[in-house]
Amino acid sequence: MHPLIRLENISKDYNRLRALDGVTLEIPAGITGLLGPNGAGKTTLIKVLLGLVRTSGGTGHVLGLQLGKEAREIRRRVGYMPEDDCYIPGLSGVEMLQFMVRLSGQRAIEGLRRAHEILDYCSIGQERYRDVTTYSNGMRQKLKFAQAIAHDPPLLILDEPTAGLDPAERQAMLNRIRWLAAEAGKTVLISTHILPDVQTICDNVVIMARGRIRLIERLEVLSRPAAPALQIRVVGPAESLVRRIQEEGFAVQPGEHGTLTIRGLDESSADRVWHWAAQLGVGIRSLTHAKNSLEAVFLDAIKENGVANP
Amino acid sequence: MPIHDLGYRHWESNAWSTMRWWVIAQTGIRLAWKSHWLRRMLLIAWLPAVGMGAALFAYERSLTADPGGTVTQEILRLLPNSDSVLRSTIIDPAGARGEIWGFILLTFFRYPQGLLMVLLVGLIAPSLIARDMRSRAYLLYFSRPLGRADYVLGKCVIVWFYLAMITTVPAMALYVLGVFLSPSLSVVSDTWDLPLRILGASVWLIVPTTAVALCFSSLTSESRYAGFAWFVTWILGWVAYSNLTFFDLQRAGQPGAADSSGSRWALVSLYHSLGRVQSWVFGLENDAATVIAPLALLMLITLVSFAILFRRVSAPLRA
Repeated sequence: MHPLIRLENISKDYNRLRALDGVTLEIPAGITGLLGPNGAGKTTLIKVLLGLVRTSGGTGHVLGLQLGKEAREIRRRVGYMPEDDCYIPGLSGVEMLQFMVRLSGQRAIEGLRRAHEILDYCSIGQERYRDVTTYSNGMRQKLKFAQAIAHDPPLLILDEPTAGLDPAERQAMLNRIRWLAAEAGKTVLISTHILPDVQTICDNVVIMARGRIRLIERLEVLSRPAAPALQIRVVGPAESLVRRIQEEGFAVQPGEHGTLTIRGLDESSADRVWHWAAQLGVGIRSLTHAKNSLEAVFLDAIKENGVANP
Repeated sequence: MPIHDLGYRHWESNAWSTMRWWVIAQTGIRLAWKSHWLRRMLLIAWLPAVGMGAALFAYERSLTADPGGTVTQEILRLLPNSDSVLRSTIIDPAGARGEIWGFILLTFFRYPQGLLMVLLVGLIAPSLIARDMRSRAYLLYFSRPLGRADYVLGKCVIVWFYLAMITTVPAMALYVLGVFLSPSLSVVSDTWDLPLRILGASVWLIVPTTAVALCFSSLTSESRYAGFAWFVTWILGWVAYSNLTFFDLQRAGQPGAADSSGSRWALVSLYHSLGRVQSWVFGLENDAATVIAPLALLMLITLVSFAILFRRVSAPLRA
């Protein structure tokens, strides 16, 4: 698939600090999670993509437009949701959204119509008429998201989109992002620390540390364990079943929330597990093929000389 | 919840306007207008125009009803620094028409509107950029196809608009009123250049003051500090000028020393530098030597302020 973001050997220095060090990456359509510890260079990378900071070296294209030279055109076609708590003081929610749409070059009346439409989509009700300074963190988060999508950009860059949201709102936000990518054809780049969010909605993962790209891969590939394995959860004590599986010559590794990972068995061997459980009278609550935990992949990727060092 | 939720729809976003600075300016003007104090100030700004209009009317009347010009002289004596204009009036009241009109308009600019300008800019300008920094609104602004120049111009236009509302617009109205109240049509040929001089004086007043005020605003995220710096600049300059000229006059002990001392120390005060330049714009200051230094000072202040402003506006993004 044609990459929408393509960077080649991008570097960025802040005086003596190298924030980006030879970043080369291609981001295809779909949802990409940008992960990295604090200070990894994620925010600098986003600023480079938006043309807000000049690079110290390297070239790149966003949506086919050249970085730096066509920064304004890039910003016209990109929706950016900053991580920081930011708002235009003195305006109500709907006024702020209309203002942002107008900054994209639209007429006032058209901007107002679009603002209402997007606020409805983001479930911001009558609060839209209140001054944004009175909004809660969650409301501001939704408003920031609304301004990022209001001008219908083909590329969305979302920095910590679910930070500060309650579980229900978080789920709603993730659903919106997923819908926009799947149904509205948006390409989404999400920078976040919340790994379960990435695991829930992302197609691709980019992991950064110390200004370098450590890993770029499809999430599906990352989740696949090196050797076949099954993951089961049982009802009640599992000791007898564990003993039986070990007697059959397979390694069993206990995990979180009572899960057991059985190494060496794939889905085609699931019948055998059901059979052993039935023989021992052990109830199986769930049986799936095992996935690599993104947390383990992440920690492994950011390791410096074999030591986790952000 | 809305009665009819359309969900997310694609949108034909053909850019209609590239004047993004105007969007910032328009929104800023509307936001500032919410202030009761600002509205009161704009109302008060028109009162001096009424007084000056009366002075113009009295002068024009005196040209036909009072050939000796005694009424005009009495009125001019009420206005500050009127010695030179008074001398011209005594010699040739009709021939001094352009000078007297220019003097009345200069007085209008210098004294009531000068004070109002300091108050009005101190009310609206300090928060314009400082608040954007505190609320990190710059991240939202600059994520759009907006350049630094658009942002700065948009903010400047907010201040320019309100300053024009208390200086240029009332002064123009005063001029038009004076022409209508004059019994003679010759007033037009005698004073045709005054609208241009009003515009010139407005530019010299509005541009440097806006640059300084926005520069202060960009230096902090606390608008009260910017406001404090703004008022201190004017007060300290005024106090320094007054003291220095007072000591000079005491030392010289001669009546003619006032002018030379004033021009020498005008550079310590933004207010008095502006006064010198405006006086030159209205044709009342003919000695170019006394104007060059304040003129250069105002230009330098404007350039430095804009340079700092541009640098500060992009500083948070570079961080």
